[in-house]
Amino acid sequence: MHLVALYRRLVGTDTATVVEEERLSRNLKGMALNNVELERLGAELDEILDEVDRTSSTNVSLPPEMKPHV
Amino acid sequence: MTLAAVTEAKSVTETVAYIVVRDSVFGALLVLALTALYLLTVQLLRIQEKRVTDLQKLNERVEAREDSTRRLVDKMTEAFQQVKSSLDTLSRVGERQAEATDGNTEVLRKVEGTLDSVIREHARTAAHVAGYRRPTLAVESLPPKRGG
Repeated sequence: MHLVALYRRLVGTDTATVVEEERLSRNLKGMALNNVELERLGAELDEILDEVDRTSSTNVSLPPEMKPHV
Repeated sequence: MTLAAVTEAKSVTETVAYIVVRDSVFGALLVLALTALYLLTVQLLRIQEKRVTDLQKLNERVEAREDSTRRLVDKMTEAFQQVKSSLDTLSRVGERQAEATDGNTEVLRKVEGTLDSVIREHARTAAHVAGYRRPTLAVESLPPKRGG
C-alpha cells in the first residue's frame, strides 16, 4: 500500500513537472513577444524623436520681420 | 558403512550450510538493494516535488513580469499615439501660425505704407502752412507804427 502511494506520488510529481514546464514554455514565448513589442516601440520612439527634431527645426525659422533685433 | 554415511552426511551438511549462507548473503544484499532503492525513490520524489515548487515560483514570477511588461507596452503604445496626435496638431498649428504671420506681415507693411504717406502728407501740409503764414507772422511781429 505504501509502495502504491509512493508510485502515485512519483507519477503525480512527474505530471506536475510536465505541466509546469509547458506553462514555463508558454510564459517564455509571451516574454519573447513582449520583447518584440518593446523593440517595435523603441523604433516607434526613434521615429517620433526624428519627427520632433524635424518639426522643431522647421517651426523655429521665423520670418525676418519677426526675428528679434540684436 | 558408518564411515561412508558419516562422510556423506558431512558432505550434505556442508552443502546445505553453503546454500544457507549463500542465500542468506544474497537475501541480505537484496534487502540492502531494496532499502537503497526505496531511499533513492524517496529522495527522487523530494527532488521532483522541489523542482515542481521551483517551477511554480518561477512561472508566477515570469507571469507577473509578463503582465507588468504588457501593461507597460499598452501604456507606451497609448502614450505614443497621443504624442503622434499632438505632433500632428502642433504641425497644423505651426502651419496656421506661419500663414497668420505672413498675413500679419502683409498688414504691417500696408500700415507702414499708409503711415508713411500720412506722415508725408502731414509734413507737406505743415510746410505749406508754415510757408503761407510766415510773412503774416513777420508782419504781425513788427511793432506798430506811431502817427501813421
